[in-house]
Amino acid sequence: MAFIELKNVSKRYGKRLAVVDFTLHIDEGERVVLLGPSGCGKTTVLRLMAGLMAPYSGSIYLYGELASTDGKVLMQPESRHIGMVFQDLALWPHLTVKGNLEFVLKAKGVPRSERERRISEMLSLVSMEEFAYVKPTRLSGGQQQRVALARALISHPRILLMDEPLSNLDFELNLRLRRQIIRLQNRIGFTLIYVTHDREEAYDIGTRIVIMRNGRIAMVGSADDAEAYFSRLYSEIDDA
Amino acid sequence: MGKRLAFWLVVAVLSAAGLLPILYMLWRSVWIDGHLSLSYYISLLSSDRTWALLAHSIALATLTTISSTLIGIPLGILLAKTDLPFRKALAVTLTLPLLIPPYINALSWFYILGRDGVIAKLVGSAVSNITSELYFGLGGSTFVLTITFMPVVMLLTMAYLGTINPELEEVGRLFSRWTTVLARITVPMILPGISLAAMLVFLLAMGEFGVPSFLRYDVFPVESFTQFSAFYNFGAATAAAVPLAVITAILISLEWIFARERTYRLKTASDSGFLRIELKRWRHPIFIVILIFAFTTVIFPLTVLVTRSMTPNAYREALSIAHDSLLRSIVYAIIGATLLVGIGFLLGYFIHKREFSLWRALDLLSIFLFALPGTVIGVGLIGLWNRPSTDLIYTTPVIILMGYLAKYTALTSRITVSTLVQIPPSMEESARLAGVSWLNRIMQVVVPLSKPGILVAWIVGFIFCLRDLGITIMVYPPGHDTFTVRTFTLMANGSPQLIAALSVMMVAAVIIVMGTGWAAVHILRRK
Repeated sequence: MAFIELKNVSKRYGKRLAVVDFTLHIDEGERVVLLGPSGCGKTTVLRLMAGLMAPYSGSIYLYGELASTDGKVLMQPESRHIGMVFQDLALWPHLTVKGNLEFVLKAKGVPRSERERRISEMLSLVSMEEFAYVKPTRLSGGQQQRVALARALISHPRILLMDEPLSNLDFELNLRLRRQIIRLQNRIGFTLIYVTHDREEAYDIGTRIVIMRNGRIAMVGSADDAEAYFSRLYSEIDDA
Repeated sequence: MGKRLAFWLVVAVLSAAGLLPILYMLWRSVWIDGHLSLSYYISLLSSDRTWALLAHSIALATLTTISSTLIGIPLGILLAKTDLPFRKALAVTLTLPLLIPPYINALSWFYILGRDGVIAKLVGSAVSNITSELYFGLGGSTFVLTITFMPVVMLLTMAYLGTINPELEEVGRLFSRWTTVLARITVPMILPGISLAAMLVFLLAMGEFGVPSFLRYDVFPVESFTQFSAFYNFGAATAAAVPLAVITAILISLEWIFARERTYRLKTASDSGFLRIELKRWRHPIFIVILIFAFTTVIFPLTVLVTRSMTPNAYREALSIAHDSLLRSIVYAIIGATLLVGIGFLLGYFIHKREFSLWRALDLLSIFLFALPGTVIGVGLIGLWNRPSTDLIYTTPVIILMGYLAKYTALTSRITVSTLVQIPPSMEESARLAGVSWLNRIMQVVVPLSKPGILVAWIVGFIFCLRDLGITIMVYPPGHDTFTVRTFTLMANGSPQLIAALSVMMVAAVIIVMGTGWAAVHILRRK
């Protein structure tokens, strides 16, 4: 039984096909990176996994259960044990850092004392304890990113989806946060599905790389396989 | 409350307040004495008066639309895109006539152009006799309605200009002058907004009751009101209302067919800056022209109104005659605005999300009801709810509030949509993934982020409920008349000073609410 399984999944926006016949198995604890240019359908695949939209055709299984199929979302997003870091981070600007984390725990019915403990633990994990009572708009890009990560992880999700979360950061900060994400994944053990268009970022984070082109899977393999794929692609372009 | 339940609540409210009354009205106009009959329509269509009324209504609406568009578009462009000084103050001043009951605008101009008006005092009765002659009828009605509804074109032009990606104009500016860019790039891009504005003005002018009634120009809404109030002929009132409903439906459908992407256009609004036109040596001359226009069409008539009311007893008498209706107006407007924000927010949310297949039908229904004359909605509401089993609705202010909900939900829902497009969907989605219930997501994420928009919607709802005449005059139960209705009915036999004082009180109420609301929105945005 695969931890996550997408079987012949397609998604259309009106007449345009965004994802075509997408099939992928992901095992528990893997770090899978979806790599490809803008508009190739990476974010759509993440949103389909999260249950934020239904596939036009095909099926998605989570933990062995059918979660979405043929235009229907069977397992609601809130029941999927998924955390997500959006590209724009989606931090609620009217709540403080602590408020952002607490809101999630309240929704899960976590008692107050437990909430306090988990918030302080999570903030310390991402080195943001001193910013608990600050609103997100007052934080730097890197700090906001860490808060978004903390918020996504505070409910102890089994799967973490990250949609180009580091794309707006400078190289050094990007590198530091990549390291932090890998450390957290090793420590907590969630399954990570990470979307990026940056090859170096993909090779650094992913234990498996899925290259996407025009809504389809072009290649699945290791970083070396991905590099070989790009070399072939470039020679084909040069020859043409 | 779940999302589905909230959706059906909106459906139920709009059905009970708008759709069913209109359907019932249509039914009653063809179901006579227990059988289907087109007799009302046959007598309506075979009557010369019908065609004369139709010609009057269309002439008034067409002339008002043409003049409002010719003035509103340049003003919108000048106030939104140029470096003119005091742009905001000018826009607010020019918008004022839209916010007060149109018949008060007619009254102000009557005090200027009428036989005993300012003109008579300044240049003598020979001239004022001519101006008075011209004022009553099509000319005066068109003039007053142009001043009243021109801000619709101006404001929508400004709003649509704000949605244009400045880069599209910047590219044009690399090889053309501003005038060419405006003519070839900017204006064509906002054509859907301009056509929407023109259609709204046409429908608002065609459905206007107070101004043609005051200026003795017979149009369909006046006929519908007369048939109902004077002769209590429900069938004839209904039949007189149907042509307006049909024209409204046709225009809304045409607008929907040809400009259905307008919501998307607003969505793709760029906030990456705004390209402003430098008027250079024209800056001050144009400013002076607009200032004179604002003074002549807004400040001067209001000043005349205030001057007329300045007698020792006018305000005391006005308060003693109308204090109860003033209080009622404010209470109904507060409740109406609050309900409008609630239902309008939910409708706007569902229009924005497009999750339920009925969203488009609800959107169209709300716009159709907004464009429909208040008197027509009033006839429908009375027909449907005037029965012993629904006394609780018909004999109480609930019927007035239902009228407000039918007529003005489109305003608050549209404001909500334009607010929600500015909130990234991920804000709500991240809460959903965290397991937060729909109601909690709305109350704790979407509503706090929409606060300024909600406040604007409340203020707009409040002002439109406060100024409403068409619906209220048709449906108000005995002892529940509002301030606008009381003033309008007193106009027939009250002293000019008293009427002026009542009108000034109404204008003051609008200005106070607008001022307070503007300050509150400003504070919220700064937070």
